[in-house]
Amino acid sequence: MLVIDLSKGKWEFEKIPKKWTRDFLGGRGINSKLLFDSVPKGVNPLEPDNTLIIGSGLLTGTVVPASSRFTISAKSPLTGGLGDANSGGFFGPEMCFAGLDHLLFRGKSSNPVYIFIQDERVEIRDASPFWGRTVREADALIKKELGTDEVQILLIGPAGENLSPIASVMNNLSRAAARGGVAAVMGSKNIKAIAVKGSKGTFVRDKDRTFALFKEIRDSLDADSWFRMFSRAGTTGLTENYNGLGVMPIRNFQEGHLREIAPLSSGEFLRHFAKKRKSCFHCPIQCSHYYSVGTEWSEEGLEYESIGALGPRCGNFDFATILKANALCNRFGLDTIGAGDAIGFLMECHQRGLVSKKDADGLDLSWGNRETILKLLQKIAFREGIGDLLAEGSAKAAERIGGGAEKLAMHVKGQAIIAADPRGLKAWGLGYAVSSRGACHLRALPVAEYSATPEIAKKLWGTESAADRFAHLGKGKLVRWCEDMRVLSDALGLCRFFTRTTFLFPEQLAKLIPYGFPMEFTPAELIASGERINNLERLFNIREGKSRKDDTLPERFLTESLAEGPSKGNLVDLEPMLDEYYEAREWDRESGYPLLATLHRLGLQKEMGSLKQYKTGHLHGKR
Amino acid sequence: MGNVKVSYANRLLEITGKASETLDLPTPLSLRDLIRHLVERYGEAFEKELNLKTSEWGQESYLYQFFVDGNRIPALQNQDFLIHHQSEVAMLPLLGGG
Repeated sequence: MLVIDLSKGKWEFEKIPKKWTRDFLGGRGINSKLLFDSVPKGVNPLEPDNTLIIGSGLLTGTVVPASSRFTISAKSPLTGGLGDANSGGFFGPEMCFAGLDHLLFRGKSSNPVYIFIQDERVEIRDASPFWGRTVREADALIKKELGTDEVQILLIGPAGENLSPIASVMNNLSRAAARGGVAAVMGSKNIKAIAVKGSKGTFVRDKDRTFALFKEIRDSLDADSWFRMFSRAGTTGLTENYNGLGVMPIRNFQEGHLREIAPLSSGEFLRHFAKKRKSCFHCPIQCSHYYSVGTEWSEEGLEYESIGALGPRCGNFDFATILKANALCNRFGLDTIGAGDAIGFLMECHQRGLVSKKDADGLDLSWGNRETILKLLQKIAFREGIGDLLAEGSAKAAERIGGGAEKLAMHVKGQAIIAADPRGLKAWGLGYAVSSRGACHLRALPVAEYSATPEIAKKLWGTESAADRFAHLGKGKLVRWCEDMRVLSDALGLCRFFTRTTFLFPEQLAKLIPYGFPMEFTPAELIASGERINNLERLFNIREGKSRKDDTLPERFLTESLAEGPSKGNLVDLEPMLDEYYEAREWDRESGYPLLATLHRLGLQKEMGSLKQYKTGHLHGKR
Repeated sequence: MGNVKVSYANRLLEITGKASETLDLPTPLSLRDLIRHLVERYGEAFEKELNLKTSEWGQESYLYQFFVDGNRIPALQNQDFLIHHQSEVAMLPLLGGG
């Protein structure tokens, strides 16, 4: 681990304790441990006392397929609790090639800097010429200054420089670590970029067996029609799926189903805009694309979340505008989900008479106005006019607007909800409510709700209704199970589209680990690590004052049902699901705090001991 | 006779050339009969796509699932399921995520 004190301009290399690897694996797991230990209660996320941590997974950059992922963690300026963002691309692997698993930044530089790391060589360099530049511009200029293209760069654009909590950290130009406000934390420390070049290679245990494993995995992926489908269209194919389920975020979740989805379908994207497929490090799936809109816009991406956020959420059903908006978010370093949420929120405020055209610098705020959407993205990134309000995210914007606007902000704990309506996906709703980083579908990713058979559901989660997307029963156990399994992908640095459902199981992961790391884990140890990481993250949030009262959903999902579509008539009944989830987690039902016995079992006594909430003894033996 | 709305996703949308359509069919009809009708209408490519398999939760599974009026019918395992007049049937692949 490289620890850099920006206030002092000094750095040192430190070892991660072996016990931490055993207990928390790597990536998000060790990030959360470092965050817990380094950021005391009450720190302002945008002040120097916050810590910014970049961690590659235990298997990132190794011979294991789809091992590109890394996590950025900090106390979140969006939620006031734990914040993190995960990304693919090539930056995480390059860190590993430089011999680094983690980077930790303390303090704040007095002027803009970028960090250049080449194996053991570390330089803190002046970034003033690049400050204010877009992601593309800064990436090119830094490479020019370093005299090489063979360097991987993690950087923020104007949005992060302007401390927007809905900014994104970018790498590889289009791979985004966008959630949790980590880009604003990076900007608050005056870090424009981190450039890494490594030459140390990667661990290989047994070359012949490793190549045999590759072939086995590659053959199984080639034979599996799911991977072939996914390789072709990436997540753009989810648009038709979620519309078919009636869970699209249309006009800020006022509706869930489009009568005609073809103009926003994956086929439309592939036929008219996609040029070539693109892959992250060592990934055989290649789910991303290079695309262009006319001759003026060439970009990389496109994810369903960006389609949902910049399209239907804003009442926009024009694919070209979605693609241009996505390109702007990449260039400004903006979270597409947060930005689309803020714009959709503003448009509904206008619809309901809370915000006028005059309030919005004369912009036409009618649903789907294409020009307005593109202009607002620029305003958000540079905090111009109404953009200054929206740059804070819909939750804080709603507080400032008032007059009932709070009911229109679709967030949990300050983080925007993604483009899947929980009224048609109850486990997803529970997952958003309890996620340690605010609204998030990836913590649990309970696709089992509509993909597992009733028999699997009964076997793994105790009831067939866990695989009924409209049912509430069984969802607590399902979400708990999914969270403990999914965190392993983040801790190992593997892509969720690879682990999906078959490689999700610890038995499969335990077989993979020795190929990329000189340590073995039993499936039981991996399951325990998953549970431990989730409980540690809960403790961080408890220390910041979070409890059951914060595990909630926007009122819309609890009280207003959809009038039409395949999910019509449904509401989320959150409380029974929360009760079941807390019971499954062995947490106190009233407060949502992990019970003492749970924390002891997981070896988190020291962390627990530092929290005042555990000093009264009222959690002894309670369920 | 009744009418049944069918919607398609992903490759099925491309094969049929449409995101959805309303069919005049004798209702109630079984899922089996609906599939037979669609295969006759759209041919081998449609049938092949519908029969694609994947590994899901450690088991072999059909790639496409059927949702009738929003409710999931386990993929192609319950072909006797009856579809009624004015039902909406969505054929969706097992895709999830964001």
